[in-house]
Amino acid sequence: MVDAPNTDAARDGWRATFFFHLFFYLLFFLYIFLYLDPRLLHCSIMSYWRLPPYVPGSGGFEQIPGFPGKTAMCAAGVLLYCFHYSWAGALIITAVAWLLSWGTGQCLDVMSDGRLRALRFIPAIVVLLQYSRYYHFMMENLSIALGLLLFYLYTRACIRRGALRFILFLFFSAVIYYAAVFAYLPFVMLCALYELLVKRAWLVDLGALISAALIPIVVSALLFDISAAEVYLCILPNDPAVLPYDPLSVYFNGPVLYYFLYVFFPIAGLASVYWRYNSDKLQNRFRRVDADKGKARKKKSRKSKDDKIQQSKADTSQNANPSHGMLSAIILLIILICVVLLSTNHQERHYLRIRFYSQQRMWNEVLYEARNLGTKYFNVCYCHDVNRALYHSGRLLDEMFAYPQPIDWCLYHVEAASRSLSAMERRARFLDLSETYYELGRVNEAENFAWDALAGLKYHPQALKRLALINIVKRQPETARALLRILREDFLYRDQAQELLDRLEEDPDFSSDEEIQRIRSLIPDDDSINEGSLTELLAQNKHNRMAFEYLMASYFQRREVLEIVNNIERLRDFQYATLPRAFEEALVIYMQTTGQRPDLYGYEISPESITRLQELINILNKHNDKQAALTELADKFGDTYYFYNVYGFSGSQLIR
Amino acid sequence: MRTTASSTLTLALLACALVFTQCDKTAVIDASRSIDRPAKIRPDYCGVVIPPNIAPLNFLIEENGAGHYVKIYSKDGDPIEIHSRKPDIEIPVDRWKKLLDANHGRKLYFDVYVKDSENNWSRFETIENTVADAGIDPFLTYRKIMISVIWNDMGFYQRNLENYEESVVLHNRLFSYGCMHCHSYLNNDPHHMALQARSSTYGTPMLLVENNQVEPISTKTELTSGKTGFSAWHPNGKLLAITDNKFQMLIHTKVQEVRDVFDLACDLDLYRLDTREVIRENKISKIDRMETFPEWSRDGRYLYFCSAPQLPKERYREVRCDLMRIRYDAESGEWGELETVLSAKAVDGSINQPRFSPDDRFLLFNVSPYSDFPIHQAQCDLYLMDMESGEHRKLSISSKRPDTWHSWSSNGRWIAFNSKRLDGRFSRPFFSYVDANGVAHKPFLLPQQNPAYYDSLAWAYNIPELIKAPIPVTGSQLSEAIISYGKQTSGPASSWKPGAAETESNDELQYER
Repeated sequence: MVDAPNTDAARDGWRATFFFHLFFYLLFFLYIFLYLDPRLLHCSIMSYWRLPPYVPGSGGFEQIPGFPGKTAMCAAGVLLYCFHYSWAGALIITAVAWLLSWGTGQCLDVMSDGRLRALRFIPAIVVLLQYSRYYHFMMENLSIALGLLLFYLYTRACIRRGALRFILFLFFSAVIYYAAVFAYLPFVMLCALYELLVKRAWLVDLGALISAALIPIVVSALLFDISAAEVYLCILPNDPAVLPYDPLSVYFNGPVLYYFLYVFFPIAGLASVYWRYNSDKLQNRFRRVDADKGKARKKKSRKSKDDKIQQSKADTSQNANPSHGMLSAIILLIILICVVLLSTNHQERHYLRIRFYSQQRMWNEVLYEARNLGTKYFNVCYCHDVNRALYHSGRLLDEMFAYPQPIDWCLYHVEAASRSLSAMERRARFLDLSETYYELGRVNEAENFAWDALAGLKYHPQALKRLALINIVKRQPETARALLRILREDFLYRDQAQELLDRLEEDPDFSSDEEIQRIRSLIPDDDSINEGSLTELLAQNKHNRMAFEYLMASYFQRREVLEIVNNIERLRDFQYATLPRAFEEALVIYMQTTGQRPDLYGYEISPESITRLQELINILNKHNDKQAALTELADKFGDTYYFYNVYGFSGSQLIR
Repeated sequence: MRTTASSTLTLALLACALVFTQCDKTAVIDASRSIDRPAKIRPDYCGVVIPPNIAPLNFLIEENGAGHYVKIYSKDGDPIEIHSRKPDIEIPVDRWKKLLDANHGRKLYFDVYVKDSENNWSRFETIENTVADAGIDPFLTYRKIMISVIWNDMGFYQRNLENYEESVVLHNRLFSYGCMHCHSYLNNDPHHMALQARSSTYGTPMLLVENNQVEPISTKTELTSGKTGFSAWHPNGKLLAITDNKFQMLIHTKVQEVRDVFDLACDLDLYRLDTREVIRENKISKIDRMETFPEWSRDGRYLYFCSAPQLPKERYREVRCDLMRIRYDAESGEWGELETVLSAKAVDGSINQPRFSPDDRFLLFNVSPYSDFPIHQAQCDLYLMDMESGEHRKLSISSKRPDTWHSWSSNGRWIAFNSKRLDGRFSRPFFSYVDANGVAHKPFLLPQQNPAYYDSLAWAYNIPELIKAPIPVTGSQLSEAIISYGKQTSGPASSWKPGAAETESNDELQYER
């Protein structure tokens, strides 16, 4: 973490610094682990989109042809896989932040002669900024960390001869270009600054700059099959996937954070040297170093200038006022807290948590997060998640109007309704669509979406598992087996896959599995190439509760009250003890508008429902204008079908 | 002195180890229990005819055991003996090659022994394979794709069949994740190759490889969309028969194969390589019919293709292609009359993908219940027509699952084809020996170094084509051609402009083939 000094005073200082670093990174870790929760990134499409996911078994990274920076990209892919465990993700992020910070410290030591060390925390703070906004620039961070590590080795190699240093530069540059191309230019610029301004070896500097232009060509010719344009284009940070990301943020947006680390090191290096040259004290020190150099030549001393820098750093450390150290620590902590408070993207966190809980089928948690999301951030995808959560928790026909339900957001066919979403967002939804179609009994459509999810995300264990289950339902055990064998290679899903394989061995038909039998009973009898409707699914199996509730919900959305009235009898098929709230309110509206009382098949309408409608009408009459009554009605009736029927939207009682 | 003693001791230990090993081997042979059936091995390499230049057929022994011993031998050459605790049997490449080289046309035997937990060996019935007298073309090209219309990760690969080397010819990462498909060669020669590309960014060029150079070609005219599907080289190398397809994907709600493809329109055209012209002939591009899957007879006098009436989408199950041909004089450009070679009625199905053997003796095609896109059919069988007698028959190597995308080796003794027979979903490349009488022998799966390779591969193989040499151009050459095509065609001076549909997502344009 920091270099251990020799004297007692320095050792005390070192201890204090060590414990401060420990405290800083412990806070860093805990915040990421406990609040940001890296599992959310693991389930986020955005992360996968930018990285080749770790694919267990055949067809993994080796499928992808080599290109500059593939190593860092694949490493980031593997690390993302570890984010399945939140603690592991937090540990990885913290370790990368520390590595960047340590590398920066070393870099500043060399360039500014031990000054400006406080800047070493900037990369760690930037990493925190990235993750507090749920950006996963792991590939870039790893690349920069490797670049700093090699720069550190380059400066500490104790090679006096410029020619040898130049050879070392060539080697390191080639390694960086091959493995972590994102850091190639920062590394080259740091080395060039170091040679020119610290070592004052302008010949080596010139050679380094010239060779930096040639190394990409040589490495690419030897190791990659890429076009001439890509040889150089890949050096630049030009990931297009970053740019459209996070439109909600103004200051801490993706491109800023993406490019920051790229330009930080060369600028910091330049600033360090500038500082060094403009400080009288440092200028004197330079003169002394030069004088020492002359003496050293005469005496053939082997003591290097780097040793002197170390010595001067130790001196600085020993002579430093302890209150300055404390002040620096406090300032740093204040910055850290400000970063956390100002930058954390709570909205994104709600989004990701809805996605995560939905995948985990934790429906109450989905609804909790949805209530905190705010109506203006809702879109068709989250509406889909909420309705699914409401259905699975048995509350769809009671509480659906507590959430936004725009008429054009079809309840389950998100694909058609999601044309406004980006390709990335749509692809992220294929698995959800697959799950919903599966639950409805439309297994072929579910299979189609699951294949798309698998291809769209390049690899997705849950999609594989879904496909295996679908093929079990379709009585295609050999296909299910093939899919489960693939899934078995995945460390995280090995046991689940093996259990299903064992069950397939014992009972290829899964005849004793109630859920599989239930889904089979929902599948349409006849094949068709037309999109099946909920009505057809209900005709196939009148006990398809999900089809019924979704059909009813779509009638509610379209304000087709007569259709609701015509379906009261069906409630008996599903053994509803009482009329669901939305049903009740629709029937009250029907009775109010037509003056007729429909056959309720033994169900009763509560007097409260009738009173509430009367109350709503009174408020409307009081204002004598629909828009004027909006605020009052939204507060009192925002979660009712009455309100939706009048205004055509719902969810107004949520945070706006 | 001490050194000598040490060396002696080492030698003695080595000798003991050797004797022990030999004893173990002897024990295998002398004290084993015979089991009257062959061992279960995966992939199924039992009773197959293999090329003398194929890579070792590594396999997994699917018998419970604590130890495994396999002896591979033939009449001549040193036998190969493999001991393994694990059931994976990996055969050394060099010794395998020597053994096969010494035994062309002879039987190749696999003796499989399995040791149980009590150190008792069981010997299974000997597996007999045959080393053919004719080799197979040393390279196989194919696409590896996810089973979807989303091309996040699609590659066009070549595999050296004499070892396990696989290399990427072109990956769609190099051209904005577009689609590449339907590669075709002139007489299995990769120096004359056509490959189609579809990209929302760069358009739909056909890439022509000749003289180790790549040229992007536009096939768009007033009458053609420029979205070329399938292509076939005329034997003179100056002419390509190409199709202009307009596919639509259908999703079934009930049947086993979820996806289906309907051709809203499909016509045949010729592309002249010398003049860079697209030639449209009404006889092979009728409005009321769809014409697809062109194939030239090897003498170049006839263009064979598949044709069916153009029906509305709702009648997709009635699409049944006849096998047709038309005479064509490549010198004068004169067309003959259309002839029906084999009707769909005669095979009670739809005929697709006709491919001539190099000697023009046999025509290999497949038959599915309906459709001109057989890969998505629940069943599709391989058929062979003897062009001398005019007789056709279903090949016994056909499975219950779709067997499609067949191609011949340049010597006419081998066919490669795609089959979903292993699991019903993932298509894998198989090879079958076809003797002089047109009898196809039991097919075998493309061998891999890791015998369990296919168990964890979520990619499907697609369009396996045998070629005589590696593809002479690099992926960067191919991708640069695509990109340069995009730049040329998007400029104001170009007469070609990408259609409206091409500006949409790739997903809606391209389908698994």
